[in-house]
Amino acid sequence: MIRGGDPVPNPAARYVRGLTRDDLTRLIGMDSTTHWDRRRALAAWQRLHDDGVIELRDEGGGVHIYGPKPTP
Amino acid sequence: MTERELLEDAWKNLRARGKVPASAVPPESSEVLHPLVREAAMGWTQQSPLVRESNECLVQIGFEPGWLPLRCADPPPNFMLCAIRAIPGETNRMEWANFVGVDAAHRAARADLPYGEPCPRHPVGPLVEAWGKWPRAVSSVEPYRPVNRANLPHFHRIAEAEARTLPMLHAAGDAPEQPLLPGFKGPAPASWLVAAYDLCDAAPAQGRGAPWDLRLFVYSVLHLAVADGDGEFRSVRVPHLHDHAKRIEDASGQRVASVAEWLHGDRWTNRRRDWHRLPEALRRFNQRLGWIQVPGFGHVRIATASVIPSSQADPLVEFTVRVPPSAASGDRIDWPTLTRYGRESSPLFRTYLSAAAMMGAAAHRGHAITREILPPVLDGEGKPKRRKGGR
Repeated sequence: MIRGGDPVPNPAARYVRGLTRDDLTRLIGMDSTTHWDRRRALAAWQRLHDDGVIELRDEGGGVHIYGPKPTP
Repeated sequence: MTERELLEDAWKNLRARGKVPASAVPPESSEVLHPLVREAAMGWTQQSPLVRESNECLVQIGFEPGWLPLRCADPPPNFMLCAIRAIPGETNRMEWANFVGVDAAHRAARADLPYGEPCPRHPVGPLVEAWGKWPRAVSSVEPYRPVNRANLPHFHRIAEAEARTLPMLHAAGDAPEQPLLPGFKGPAPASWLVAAYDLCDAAPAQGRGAPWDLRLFVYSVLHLAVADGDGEFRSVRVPHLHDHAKRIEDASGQRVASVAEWLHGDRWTNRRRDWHRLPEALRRFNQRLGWIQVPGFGHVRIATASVIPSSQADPLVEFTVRVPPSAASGDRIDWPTLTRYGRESSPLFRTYLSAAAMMGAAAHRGHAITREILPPVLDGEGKPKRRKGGR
């Protein structure tokens, strides 16, 4: 559940919460900022994060997008 | 000196003197030849699915043997055929002919055909036969088959000056349906491919996975090596179904993914039920996608599906793609990941393309991309003022 205004520990959720309507339209193709659309966007970003394709790091003041972690 | 040698000499001479327009393609680049002309080579009939479905026609022109088509500029309805032939008895002199309004003339030819009369041989037949007899130069450049990684070109880098040097450009007045692409100057640049798709009034995704036309568009553009991004059109021939890919693998030992594998992975369930969606998606791709707008110039064609299968027996789907030099160096894409996400979910596919663009921009700048998210405004009690829904 994404709750506007609450501190969100999950960087993907924090990233999605900061997206504007235009961002969401361009990223996931939905001209809407409904709760359900944000859930879909969150799921997509979270999946990329979990798959190691990208790394979202919450570094205070903003969520940074990094490339994949190098494999040891 | 044979006729072919005459033509080759004349071609080189014209090129050297700048007499050949930049839009001309050398005769060996027959991949650019429009499928309608290929259809004519097979013997035109009114039952031809290409003619029947597209309602396009070729011109009733009194071609004589010896003419060779150079190119078919622009897709229908702005179809134009240019032909060239050597002037008999003279060296290094060529004769040009431009035939405009092919579709209208062809419609007229069909209208004149009396009812019940057997369909005559297509007027362009001799021309295409002459074309077919021209030995093709074997290209030393193999099409790039992404296995692990691909390159996402930066088409927004095309400048007006470069656009004017590219062959086969669309005039500014003949705008396709796709409007201007937005600039990607913000902190969160989305992939231009996704934006291009959205802005052309694209249909929403139906069923599982990203829309087929979007996937075909993206995948065909990714089938071009960075070194081949020289602004020339390249044909990318892909096996149609799994069986066709298997046949190629058995014959040559080379593993080549088919279009069906792009869309469905190892196995296409319900292929009999859903196959008709593939040519439909390719036609949508031709009509709406594949254009990029260059500010101050007009629209530039970058990709087209030049051979669309008419049945499941057709072994091949061909895309004609080009990438200008300024756009050739782009972002790194992991090909297996992209195809897997495309099969799974539309938001996932789009998000991955956007993330690739962001990571490319981050690598270019030397630091991570940050989407600034302001911390919540707290009231006197330390609780956030804005609740869910902006209240």
